[in-house]
Amino acid sequence: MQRMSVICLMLVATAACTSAVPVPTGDDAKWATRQWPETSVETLSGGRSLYVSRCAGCHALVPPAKHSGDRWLQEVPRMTQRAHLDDGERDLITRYLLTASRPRDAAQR
Amino acid sequence: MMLRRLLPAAALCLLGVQPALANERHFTQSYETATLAPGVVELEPWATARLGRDGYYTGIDNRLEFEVGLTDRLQTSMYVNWGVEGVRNPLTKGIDTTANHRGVSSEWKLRLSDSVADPVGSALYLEFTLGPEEVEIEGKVLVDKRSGPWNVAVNGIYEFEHNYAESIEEHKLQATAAVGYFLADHLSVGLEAMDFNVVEPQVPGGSATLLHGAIYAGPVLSYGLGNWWVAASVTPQLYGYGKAVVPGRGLDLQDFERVQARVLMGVHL
Repeated sequence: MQRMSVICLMLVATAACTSAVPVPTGDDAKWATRQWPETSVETLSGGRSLYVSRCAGCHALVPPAKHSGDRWLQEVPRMTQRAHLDDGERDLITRYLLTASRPRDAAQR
Repeated sequence: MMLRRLLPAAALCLLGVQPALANERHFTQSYETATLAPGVVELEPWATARLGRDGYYTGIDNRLEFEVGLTDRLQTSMYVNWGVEGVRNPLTKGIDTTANHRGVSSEWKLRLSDSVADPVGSALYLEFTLGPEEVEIEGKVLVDKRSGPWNVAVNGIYEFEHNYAESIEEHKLQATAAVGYFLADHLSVGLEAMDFNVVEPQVPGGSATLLHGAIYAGPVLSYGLGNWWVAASVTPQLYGYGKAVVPGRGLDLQDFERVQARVLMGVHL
């Protein structure tokens, strides 16, 4: 039992090294301002917080990078009513997901 | 021809493309940290079969749980517990069955961190049970992590039972661990293990004493789609410890069963 517990803890510790829902950075905000000029790191962080708190109640969180921006533009409106999001909350979550899901090469531009 | 058309459609339904429900359970003994969204209500029927002790023994425990999401992080539930036990009567050689109502329970679960967004998901769990013969208080610390197709959950559990009909108190220390792998968004397979211990609490000048314990492990399967999910496991006893263990056999079949099998189902209302 002790051996199994150690193995499980090692798995958890390994997985804990990364977050599949990335915390926004300055580069993210820089990219986002091209789409939404008034966007800041704080704005994106607010979107991430809303995504974690409101969406995790209905389904396991989907890592933003798992879907393309186009797919998120379809998914978020579909989930808005179910998650009881108002327009402002939906907008913040959309900004975060589109920013976090952008292709890697675009992220560096 | 018709079969060829139906099979891919059936496979698509089975594997699904929607995200899994938050409160979908992928293990039957280990809790994960997810909580229901505010206002979301779920009905959860449970059935646990406990099979094989010294002599003939069959126990079926049933639970009907009504869960409600209160806030982004807090959920509660009420449930009723009942069951039936069958043992061989040494005099008549027949099977005596006893039905029992084990009382009502109130469960509270507070999610502290998320298993996907945060390095590790964590939650606190508290459960009170009031029955016709006993009262129970159970506390759990839940830890889990989802990463890619992997899902890991570990629970630490303390349970206190006071049987006021017979003036008996029991302290239980338990641990569960489970590892699952998602074959598809809605379908996971895994292994689950439980370590059950009944201890005598520390007395002044002494230390806590382990009275008896047993380790179980076995496969677990879960599937969910849309507004429902189901999880099932079969866990044989691998090892028993305490005075009741039969030398050479390594199992405690006096205090624990040879096999436990559990099925859980959840339906969003």
